[in-house]
Amino acid sequence: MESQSAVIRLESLTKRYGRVMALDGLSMEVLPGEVLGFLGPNGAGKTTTLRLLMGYLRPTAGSAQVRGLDSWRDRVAVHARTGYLPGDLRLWPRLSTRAIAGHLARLRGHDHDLDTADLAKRLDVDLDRPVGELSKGNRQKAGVLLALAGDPDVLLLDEPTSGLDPLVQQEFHRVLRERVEAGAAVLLSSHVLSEVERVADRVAIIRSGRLLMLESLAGLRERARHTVEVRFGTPPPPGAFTGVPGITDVRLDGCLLRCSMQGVVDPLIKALGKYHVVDLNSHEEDLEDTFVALYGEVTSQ
Amino acid sequence: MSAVTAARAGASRRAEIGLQALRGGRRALAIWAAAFAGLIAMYAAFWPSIRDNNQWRELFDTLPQAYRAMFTASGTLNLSTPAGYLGIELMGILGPALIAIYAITAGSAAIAGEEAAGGLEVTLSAPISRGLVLAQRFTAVVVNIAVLMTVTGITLGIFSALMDMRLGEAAIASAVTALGLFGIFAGAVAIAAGAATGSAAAARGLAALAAVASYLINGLAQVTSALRPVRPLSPFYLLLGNEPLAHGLRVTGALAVLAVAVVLILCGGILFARRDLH
Repeated sequence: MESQSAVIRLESLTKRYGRVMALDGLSMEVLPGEVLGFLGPNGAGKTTTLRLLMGYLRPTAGSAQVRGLDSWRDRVAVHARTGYLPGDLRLWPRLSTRAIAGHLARLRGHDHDLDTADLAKRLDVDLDRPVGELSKGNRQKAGVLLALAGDPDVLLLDEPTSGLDPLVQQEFHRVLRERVEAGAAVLLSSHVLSEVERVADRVAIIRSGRLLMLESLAGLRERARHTVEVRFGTPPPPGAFTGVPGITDVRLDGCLLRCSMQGVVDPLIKALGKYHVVDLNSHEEDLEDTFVALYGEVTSQ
Repeated sequence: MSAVTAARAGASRRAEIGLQALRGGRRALAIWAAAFAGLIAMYAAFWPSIRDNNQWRELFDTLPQAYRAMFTASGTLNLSTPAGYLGIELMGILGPALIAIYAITAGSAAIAGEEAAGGLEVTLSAPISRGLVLAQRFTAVVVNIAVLMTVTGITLGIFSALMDMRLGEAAIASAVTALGLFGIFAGAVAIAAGAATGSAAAARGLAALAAVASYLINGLAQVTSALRPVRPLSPFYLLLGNEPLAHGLRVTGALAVLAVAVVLILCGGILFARRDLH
């Protein structure tokens, strides 16, 4: 990975509150033109990471950088090209989305009424009702619009699709893809893998403030486990499939073998070749299960 | 875009936080302005009956000095003149208390209140420094206080003419300036404490404490010699201790209080820029 071109860079980023370690030496990068899905259970440190990137929190150690600018020291410059959606979105209840978008546009020194109107249409946002009167989902849409307005080339989105209906989610993902194809870098946090699966190019998984793994979606899929079911003509001897590489949870029940498989299929095929196979079934467990397995525990969702 | 319009756009961009604060505070400001005008009208309406009743003054003169000190900023009293009468009623307690309440409410909401409500995170996602946000919100509070005091002064002028109170324009201007500066002092404590700590409760508490302490020090210093040396440290004394409606504004005292307010805002700004948002 070319470090020079990274848009978002975390270097041993650490945040401690008293004795509580919220973030423990997190290092990762987001490149231009990619969506990095940022996954983890609630309380893993995702929101803390995004707030450190916005310069709202001072790192205990390490640094967060956006386009080579330090998030804490140069936060004003960082904000100039960054769109941010807070995880706990609370807007001024008496103002309409249009009024808030206008306020933020003026603070950014440009006028993006057209942009706002286009986004409002695509995301189905009611621009003129006070946000206090909107449902939670509609308020979330307003927040997404505000983060995307003005075409920032860095997007920090904390659980953007929570509360959005599937159609709007789809459109939101389309907008994201367009932005990414134009070169934007996106860090998108979520605690649901299925969402990240749809938009992310790479996935970072954190737990308890530490990076568990960081890899491409394709890599994550490779890690995905398959459930294999094999029916034999005659029962193989017990223990015939123990110790086959990549195979776990072996249950041999007469003529029926059930097991989990991860990685390359070849060792299993070779092992099966010694016996008379009547039927073979294999299906991929979904990434959600892989994700849960990686956690070693069930996430809060 | 010409250089002039570009510069104007730049200026309005930098003032946007303050303008937004003024737009958002208009309704509350109108209610407060009506309250101040109503208060003046009420006091003015009582004036003829006070003026014609010498027993009031005799009663007041029999009160202990400690008691009188709490009701008047200077401890002296002349109920036979409009300035003396309003000096007790308007300038002694209720005026400073009301403007302080307004300033503390607006000041604690400016940073800490918005932070608790969640809006600050949205405001600060824009490319604008925390210090500039603080400075503009403070300026908006100052402007609103100036509007309130202008309304108060104009109302006072109108009723002075209607009720034949013969308050001079300079006297009225001095009085509302002194009141307004007291509000600015209390508001500055609230904004600075809120910006430094992020707690609206701390902002309100500290500002109320500062306002009440400055009032009590001024009052008690008149009866307790131990407190006399610290009386000049009281903004209440510096602004209102000489009865500005009767004797004019003490410019040095006024400037000193204003300087304290500015220093508080600067300190609040420094601490605000260095702390974590909640």
